[in-house]
Formats: sequence, C-alpha cells, structure tokens
Amino acid sequence: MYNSTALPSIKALPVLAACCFSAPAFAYEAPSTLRQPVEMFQSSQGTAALAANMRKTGVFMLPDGHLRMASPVRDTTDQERVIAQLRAYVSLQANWDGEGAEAPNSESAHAAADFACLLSASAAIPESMLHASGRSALAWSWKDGSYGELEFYPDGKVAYYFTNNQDKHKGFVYFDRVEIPRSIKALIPTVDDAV
Amino acid sequence: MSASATHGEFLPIHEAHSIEQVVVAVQFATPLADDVIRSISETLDTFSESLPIRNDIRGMGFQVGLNGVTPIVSPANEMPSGVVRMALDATKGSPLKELRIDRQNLVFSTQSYTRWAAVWDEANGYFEKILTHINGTKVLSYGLTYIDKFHWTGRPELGLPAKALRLNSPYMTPKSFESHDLWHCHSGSFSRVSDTVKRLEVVDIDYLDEASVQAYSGTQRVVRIAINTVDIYNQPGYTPLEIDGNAASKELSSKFGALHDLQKNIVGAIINDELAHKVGLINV
Repeated sequence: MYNSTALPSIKALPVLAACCFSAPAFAYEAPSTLRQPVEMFQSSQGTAALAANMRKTGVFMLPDGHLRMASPVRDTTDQERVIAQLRAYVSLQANWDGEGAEAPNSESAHAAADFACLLSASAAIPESMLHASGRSALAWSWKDGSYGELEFYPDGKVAYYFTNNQDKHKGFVYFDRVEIPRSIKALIPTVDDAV
Repeated sequence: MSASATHGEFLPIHEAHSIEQVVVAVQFATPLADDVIRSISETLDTFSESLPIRNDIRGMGFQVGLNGVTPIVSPANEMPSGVVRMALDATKGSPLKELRIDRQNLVFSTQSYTRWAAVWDEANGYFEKILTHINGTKVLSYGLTYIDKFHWTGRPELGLPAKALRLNSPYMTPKSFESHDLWHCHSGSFSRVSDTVKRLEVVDIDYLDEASVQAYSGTQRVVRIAINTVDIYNQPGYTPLEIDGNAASKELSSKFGALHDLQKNIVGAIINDELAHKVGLINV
C-alpha cells in the first residue's frame, strides 16, 4: 500500500518541506489504521521522490514541522480521460485532419461525453473517435476480434454497429442523455471481454 | 507548439471534471442516544460490501497532573460515540469513500465522483436506511460541500488566476486578480429560502501551491474552490418545523437536489467559460 523506503529524511529538506505546506483545508483526520505513512520519513533519496511520495501518500508537512495526513487525490480514471477527449474535440476547426474534415459538431461531442459518463463500472471503457463528418463516436474492440461502434448525431440519434464472427447488430436508437438505451446496453462489452 | 504547451493552462483535476470531493451531511438538533448509535452501527455493518473498513469513534480525555498532560483513552468495550465505514483507493490505500455517523452528524463523503445522480443514489441508499432509526431526534440541517480543483501546467508565476476565473465573479475580490502571489478569498452569507429554511452559503477560493508528482519544483499551483451550502431549520425568526428521521428520508432527494443545482450555479459564476466547458458545465 505505502512504499516505506522511498522517502528521504524531512529534517534534511527544510526548504522543500516549507514548499509543501499546502495541506488542504479538507485534511483528512486519519484513523489509526492509516497513520503509518507519517512514520515513513526515515530513509534518504532525492527531493523529487519526496515530492512524489508526499502527493501519492497524502502526507503533508505544516510550517511548524508537524506531518499531517491529508486526503490524497485519487488517480484520474480512463473513463474521465475519454470524456475529456470528447469535450476537447469541440475546440478543433474544420479540416482538423488535413483532408477536409467537417468541424466537430458540439452536440454530437457532448452527447458522446454524456454517454461515456453513464457507463457502469463493469463496462469496458471505449475509445473516443472523431469522424470526418464532424460527428463523435465511441468504439470497443473485443479480445476475440469483435468490434462495436456508436456514432452520435446532433439530433439525439445514435447509430450503432456491433459485429462478431456470428452476427451483426446495426441500426439507430434515440439517446436522451439520461439513460443508456437498453438495446445498446446489452451490446457493450464488460471490462473482462474488451481489449 | 501551442501557447498552452509553452506557457501552461489550468486543467480540471480529473480531466473531465474538477471535483476532488463531495460531502453530503445531515445534522441533528440534539445528540443521538447510545441505543440509536448501536442500532445504526448494526445497519452500517450491512454496507460492508461497498464500505469494507470499519473504525469506531471513541472519546478521548486528558488528565493534567504532576506528569503533565496524559491522555485517557476510553475502554474498548465502551459504546463508541460514532462509527465510520470506508472504502480505500485500491492504488493508494487512502480513503475513497467514507460514511460517518456520530452523535450529531450523518456524513457521506466521496472522491469517486462520476455524476451527481450516481453519487446521490449511493448516499441516499445509505441515508434512507440509517434515518429510519432516528425518530426521537429532529433534523437541524442538510449540507452539501463540493471541492473543485484546477491545476496549472506551466511555471507557477505564469499561472494567473484570470486564466481560470471570471473577472466579474461576485465570489472574487478584484484584489486577488492583481496579486502575483498566493491568495485566499472567502465569502459567506445567509439567505431566507422560505419561512422554515435559512440557508448558509460559504465559498472559499484558494490560490495555492500543492505537493505534486508532475511539477519539477515539487509543487504545483492550483485553484481550489470549496463550496458549502447548508439549509438550516428552526432558526430565530423562522417558522418552526420538526423533521424526524422518517420525514427526512422522504424529502432528502428534493432537498439535496436543490442544493446541488445551487452549487452548479455558484461554481459557474466563479470559473470562466473555457473551464466550464472542460468540466461539462456548459456545452458550447
């Protein structure tokens, strides 16, 4: 859980320690089972390792020299990254691919982002795509070679295309941005199925 | 190379959104009795699948004598004054979600934010079951806190707050925009929402340096926005309204939904359009 050897002695680094005094106001009062990191400042390595581990473990040092356990920030998830990528499409201009592509459609990008936001924890995280039409899409690839894609239209329609060795599913459904349409939900791979 | 690549930009802490933590809280007018804490504690244990770790809250006293100040720890077999159940982050081992009941508070906090509906479904699932035990005690307030954070990717001295915040925001003092150093802005106010509800609105905006893995200097400049809204009952000058646990559980969704909408408006009045777009607050 915590790396007990990667942190240098804080006494030798007063300047850096002072810089790290940004203990969040919402500091977490650690229960007894989570207090071990405070005792980790024993070994000696570089200042970068100290900074890295202070953030990783959420140990902050106050100006008076007291260590404090603050709530460290969790890692950003792949789902959050995909949503951010879709929203970023909107800032692209026409001909973003150098081959005359349409400017990204804002409604389409935000519909795709909203869809990605609704995916459950067990669903595989798709790749975000931007078509030359300016419409955004989400795509999944299965370990067995199957493929699925959703293309988001500005009027709320979603074109779906899922194929594997046995059969093919394709068509249009309406996405209300509140709930994933049942017909599509059944086609989305789980974390275990996807590449 | 783009300007943002050479000089830096403010980014939401989790790329798609800036929410570091959400805290949902119900406060009681009087302390809960031992038997209520005991029955809630048993209910909390039924949440062990989603919140596997349990910590009991026990009082601690201090004795001042010839030996100086000596802590007096409550015996382990004594009734705890509260219970915390939590789930840890699989990577970092730090608390990801926490549900806490103590004598006067029921609090759910989480870093695992995807969207409000999902967070509320989880919090409400816990709260509804817990509040059924609280019938002799009245609700004093409902509170919602959001902590948003945006980090600056470039050299700290180039990370001017005007690149993240609205120049005419009612929650910012103009002096902060003139500063080339770190600062803090605070605003707090009460408002009359209805004849029964007095609302407290607290907004804290910090411009500070935090320990960072990415930054070469070991710190990273961030804009941190903490918004706390609390609806308070039975205040002087307001019509008394007694809400017990059962009544509270029925109105939770509408009360917290309203606080959530209010917070969206507040954060939208603080961050600029560019960041509002990045976190999905506006679709441009």
